[in-house]
Amino acid sequence: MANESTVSGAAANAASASRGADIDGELVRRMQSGDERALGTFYDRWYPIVNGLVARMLKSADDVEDVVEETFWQVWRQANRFAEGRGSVQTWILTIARSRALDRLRATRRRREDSIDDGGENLASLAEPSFAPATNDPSLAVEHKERSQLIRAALGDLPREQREALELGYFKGLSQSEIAERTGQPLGTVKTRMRLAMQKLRDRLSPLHEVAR
Amino acid sequence: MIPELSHEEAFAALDAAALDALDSAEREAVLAHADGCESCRHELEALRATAAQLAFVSPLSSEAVPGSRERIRSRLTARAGADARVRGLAPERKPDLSTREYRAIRARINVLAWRRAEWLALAASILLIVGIGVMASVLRDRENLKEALVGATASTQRSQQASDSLRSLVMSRDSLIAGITGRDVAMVQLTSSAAREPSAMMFWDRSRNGWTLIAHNLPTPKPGRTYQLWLVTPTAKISAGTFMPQNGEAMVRATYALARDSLRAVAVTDEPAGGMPQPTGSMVVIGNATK
Repeated sequence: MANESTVSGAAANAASASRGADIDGELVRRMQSGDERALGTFYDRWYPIVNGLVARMLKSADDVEDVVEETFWQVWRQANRFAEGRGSVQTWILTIARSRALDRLRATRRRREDSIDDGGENLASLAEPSFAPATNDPSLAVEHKERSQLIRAALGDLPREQREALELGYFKGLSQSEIAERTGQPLGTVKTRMRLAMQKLRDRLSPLHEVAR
Repeated sequence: MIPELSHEEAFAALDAAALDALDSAEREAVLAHADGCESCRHELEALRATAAQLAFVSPLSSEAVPGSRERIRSRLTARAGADARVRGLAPERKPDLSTREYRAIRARINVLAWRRAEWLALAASILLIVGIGVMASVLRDRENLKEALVGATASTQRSQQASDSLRSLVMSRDSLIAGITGRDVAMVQLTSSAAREPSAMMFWDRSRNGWTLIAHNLPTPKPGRTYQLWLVTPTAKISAGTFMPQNGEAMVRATYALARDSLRAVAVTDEPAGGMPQPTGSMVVIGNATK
């Protein structure tokens, strides 16, 4: 059950996200008409978040740079295919970034036949992240920090097994059968854990992504 | 063939599809069902929005390599500008109608138009001849101002064209610099045994399949002859184009996708004008790429 301060934090963050969604929508419309300056502004807004996500998923700095560039290039090339009624700009770009990072992660894994043991960084370490000076935009940093706290709180409320299934799927790019193999659990158990985790997370975070539409 | 799933089976797998955590066959089956099922499609969009929120758990990250943020930005905007022009998307740069000069001229035209009406009224009621003279004078003024307006507009357009031209030049330079200084660029030095030694360097931007040859001291080919650039692999000699030097200097740019480990040498030969499918003439410079 969310407490009162979490709810008011979500409301403040929702209002801020709504303003950001308006700006992003306008930038995408300008990109659709071929305005490359809009891509520059969009990049400035989203680089710290996209780079943060990609850097968390990939080890090599070269891979991170490539994938970040591929992500924004895909945004530019597919701006015309973005349909506002079908989802938010935020979901769109973060899905692209994660898909490109997953492609790279899986290709690297196939190439090196790497062990998927990756040194152990995980979502379970829900301590406050250190905020590197990645953005000059204080409002973005504040919005990100508040949003991050809300999501971490929601994740922190999940049972450890559900959180682990989510983390291995989202950040490590493992399929459910790979997670089952890695954790030694039956596939059906992994599916159930992941489904429950997503349902709970969706309930807790719905105020955030509804305004982002 | 994609296996068909029942609505219940597909619906139960949507959360994993949103996380891209299904094996490929199952993923395709779920997405195929969602394509034709409105409720599953909406559910999948909502779950993807939830999954996207997880990105915010990662701390805002500063660039891993110093300067990479600006480097990516500059490459992206240059590529996007060129792409917009190729696709005919570039927004037309009209003369800036908000410039002070333009506004002043427009304002004066408006004022004079009103004044002209007043003069006409006076001329009609008092002095027809004087009125006509004044009107003629006002019309002359107006025409002069129109010409000034046209001149100012043309000047703005010329400035815009000059700006576009300079921009294009800068982009071309940026592209060249990226092609020879990128972090994934390999270099092959080409040498010759001739007296006044021609020399060349080939830069291979492997991530963009870009090739840039810069050559010096090349003698002018005989009439009917040209230089031809070759990429030599274990199985083929691939033409990368023909070129003519100017004052002994040449720069050749080409795009060709080649596996990273397949380049054995780069060579320039003297060939009949128009080039040949395989090298037939004498070697001018050659560089071993396996060193």
